[in-house]
Amino acid sequence: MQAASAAALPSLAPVMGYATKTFEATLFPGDGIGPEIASTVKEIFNAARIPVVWDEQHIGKTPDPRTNSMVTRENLDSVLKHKIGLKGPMATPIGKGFRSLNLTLRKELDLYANVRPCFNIPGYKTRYDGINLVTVRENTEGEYSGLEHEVVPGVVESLKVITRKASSRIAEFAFAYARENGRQKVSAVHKANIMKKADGLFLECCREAATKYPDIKYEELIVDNACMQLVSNPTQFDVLVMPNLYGDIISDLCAGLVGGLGLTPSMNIGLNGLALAEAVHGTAPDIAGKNKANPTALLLSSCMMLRHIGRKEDADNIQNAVISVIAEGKWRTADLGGNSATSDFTKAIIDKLE
Amino acid sequence: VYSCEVLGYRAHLSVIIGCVGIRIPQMFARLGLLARSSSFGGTGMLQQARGVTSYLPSPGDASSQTVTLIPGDGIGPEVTKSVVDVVAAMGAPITWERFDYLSGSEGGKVPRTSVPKEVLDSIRRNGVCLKGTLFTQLDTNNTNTQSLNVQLRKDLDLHVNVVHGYTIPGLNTRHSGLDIVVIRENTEGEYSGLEHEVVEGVVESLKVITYEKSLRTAQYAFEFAYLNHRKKVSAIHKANIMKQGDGTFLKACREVARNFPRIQYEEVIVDNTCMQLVTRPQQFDVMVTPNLYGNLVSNVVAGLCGGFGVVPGGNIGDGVAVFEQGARHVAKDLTGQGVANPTATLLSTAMMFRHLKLAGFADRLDAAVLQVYKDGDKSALTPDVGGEGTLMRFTEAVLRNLEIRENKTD
Repeated sequence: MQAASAAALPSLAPVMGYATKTFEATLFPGDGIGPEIASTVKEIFNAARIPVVWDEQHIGKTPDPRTNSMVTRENLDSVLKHKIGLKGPMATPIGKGFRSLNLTLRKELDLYANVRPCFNIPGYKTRYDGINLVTVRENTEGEYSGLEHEVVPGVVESLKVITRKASSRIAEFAFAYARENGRQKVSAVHKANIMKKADGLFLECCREAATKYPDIKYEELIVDNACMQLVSNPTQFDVLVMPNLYGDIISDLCAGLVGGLGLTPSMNIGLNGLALAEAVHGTAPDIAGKNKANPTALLLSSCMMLRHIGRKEDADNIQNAVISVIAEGKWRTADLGGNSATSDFTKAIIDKLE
Repeated sequence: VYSCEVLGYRAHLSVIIGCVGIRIPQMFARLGLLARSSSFGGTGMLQQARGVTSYLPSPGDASSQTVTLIPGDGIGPEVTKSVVDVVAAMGAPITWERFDYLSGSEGGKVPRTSVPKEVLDSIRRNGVCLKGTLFTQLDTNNTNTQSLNVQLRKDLDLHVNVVHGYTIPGLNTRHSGLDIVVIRENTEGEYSGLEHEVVEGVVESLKVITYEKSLRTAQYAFEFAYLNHRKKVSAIHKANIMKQGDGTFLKACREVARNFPRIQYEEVIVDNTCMQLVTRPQQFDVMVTPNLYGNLVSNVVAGLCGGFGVVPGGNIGDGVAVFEQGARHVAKDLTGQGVANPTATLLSTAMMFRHLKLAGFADRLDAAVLQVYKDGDKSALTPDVGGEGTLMRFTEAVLRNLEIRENKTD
C-alpha cells in the first residue's frame, strides 16, 4: 500500500517568513454584516500592531467565464498568492448555469480540510460545559461528490466516493494538527459496520496515520454512537476526524453545543498548506449596517489564521481579549443577550489587548 | 395533577396525595403504536372507577399469542431475560418462540453472517418479534455481508423504524419537555450494501432512494402523526447537496402532506436539525427521515432523553413488527456485568403489547417502569442513568410496582 507522498501532505509549518515580518492576506468582507465585522477585524489587528497588508477582494456580481462562477479569477489568484485568507459571510446568488461560491472556492483552492474548534466561551452559558474539541472534516469527496442519476423513473442513485488519497490526507492532517496544537486524542468517526468498503477504507487510512503519531491516542467511533455521546458526554472528545457527510452534521452539532454558528471559528486548509479562515454564520441582512453585528466568529477565525502562519502570540492576544470581554458580560451584542453596539464591543476588546 | 390527552383536549384532575384518585383511560383504542403514558403512575393507591370501560376487546383477544424472541449479543440476553420475567409476572398471554443461538459475534455462539430461514419464517408466522441488538463484525473479509440487523429489516421488509424519545419524569437530562418521534426509512438509502472498489484505493458506495419507498415512509409518518394526535411532521434531508436523491424523498413527503392538511409540515436540513436538537429540541414533534440521517437523528434524540438504555423503538412493515431498543447498541463494555438498563426494551415491550391489542398490559407496564424513575431511588436505577443499582434491582422495582397495582383492584 502506498502512503500518500510527502509532497501531498499539508504544510502546517509557518508559511515562510510570515511569523516575523509584514505579510499579506486576502480579505473577503462578504455581504450583509460582512463588511462591518471585517472592519472590526482590521481595527483590532491594527490595534494589536499585527503587520498585515490586507488584499481586499470582492465577489463579482456576474459570472466570470474563466471560473464559471461569481468568484473571479482575481479572487482566486489572490488567495493562491498570499496563501492565507479570511472570508466573511456571503449571500448565495440565485441563478443557474454557474457554480456555487463555496463549491468554486473548494475546488479551485483544493480546500480539503475543514477545521472547527468548539469550546465553551466562559461567561456565555449553554446547556453543556467543559467542551474543548476540534472537528476535522474531509471536504472534497464522500457523499458530496455531486454524482447522482435517476436510473429509472423514481429510483435515484447517489454515489459516495471514498479514496485512499483523500482519506490519508485528512487523517495525516488531523494527527499533525493534534500534535501541533497539543491535543491528546484523535477519534475517527465512521459507519464501517454498514459501509464496509467505503468507511472501511477511511478507517484503514486513519489507522495508518495513527501509527506515525504514537504519542497521540487513537480511537474509532461509529457515527450514531458518536452523536449520542456528543449530546450526553461531549467533554470526552478532543479531535474528531470524519468523512464529509458525518463531518458536516457533527460539526454543526458541536457548534450548537457551544452556542451556535455566530460564535464558531472555522478554517479550511487547501493546496500546499494554504488556509482560508471563514465565518460560518449567515449574512443577517436584517441587522446589516446597524452596528449590531457580533464579530466574534470572524475574530476567532482570524486567530486560527494567525496560528497557521506561526503567529501564536498574536492569536492568543486577540483570542484572550475577545473571550474576556464576553466573559465579563459588560459589553455583549444582542445575539449574546446584551445590547451593546458592535463598535463598543470592538473598543472593549482593543482595551484588553496587550 | 394528572392529565390525559383524550381526543385532543386535556382533562386535568387534581389529586390529593394518598387519597383515592380516578384514572381516566384513553377513550378509544389507539390503533397507533404509542400513547402518551406520562399521565399514569402515582402512589399506587389508585382504584379503577366503576362503570368506565378501558378497552373493549374482541372475543378471543385474551388467548395466547406467540412472539419470536431473539436475545441477540452483548447486553441483549440479560435485558431480554428481564423482559421475559416481567411479562411472565404480569401473566400476559405471550408465548415466546426463542432463538438464543442467533449471534453476529463470537461470545460463545457461532457467529452468523446471514439470518437463518427458520428465524425469518418464525417472525413472518407470528407477525411480531422482540429482539436485542445483534453485533456486526467491523472487519470481516467478506465485505459484502451486511449486518444481521440490516438483513432482518430488509428480508422482512420492515418499512420504517420508529424511535420515541420523551422526557422521563425523575430522570435528569439537560433538556426537558421532550416528546419526539423519529420515523426513519428502514431498507434503502445508504444501507443498500452496494459498494465496490473502482480502482485500487477508490471506493464507490451507492445510496439508493426510490420514490416508492420514500412515499410509504412519508405515508406512515403522517398516519402515525394523525392517529397519535401529533401536530407537526418535519422532513429531514440534505437536498441542497443531494438534489436528486433527497429531492425525491422530499417530493414524496410533500405529496403525502397534501392529504393531511391539519398537520403542519416543514423541511429541515440535517445539519441544522442536529444543531437545533442540541439547542432547542422542544420544537420537534414527529420527524421523518431517510435511512442514514434517521440513524444519526434518532441517536441524538436518544442521547437527549437519557441514552440508549431508556428510549424505546420498533420496526414495522406489512403484517410484521419487530420491537427493540430505539438506539441500537450492543454495548460490549457492559456485557455480563449485570448493569445494563432494561428500560428501553421494557418500554418497547409495552409498545408491542399495544400492537397485540393488549393495551391494558401496555399501560400497566409503562406505568410501572416510569414509576421507578419517579420514585427516584438510586439503588434501583442503573449506572447509565446515574443510579447505583443493577439490572436485577431495576427489574425487581418494576415487578414491585406491578404487584401494587394488581393488589389494589377490587
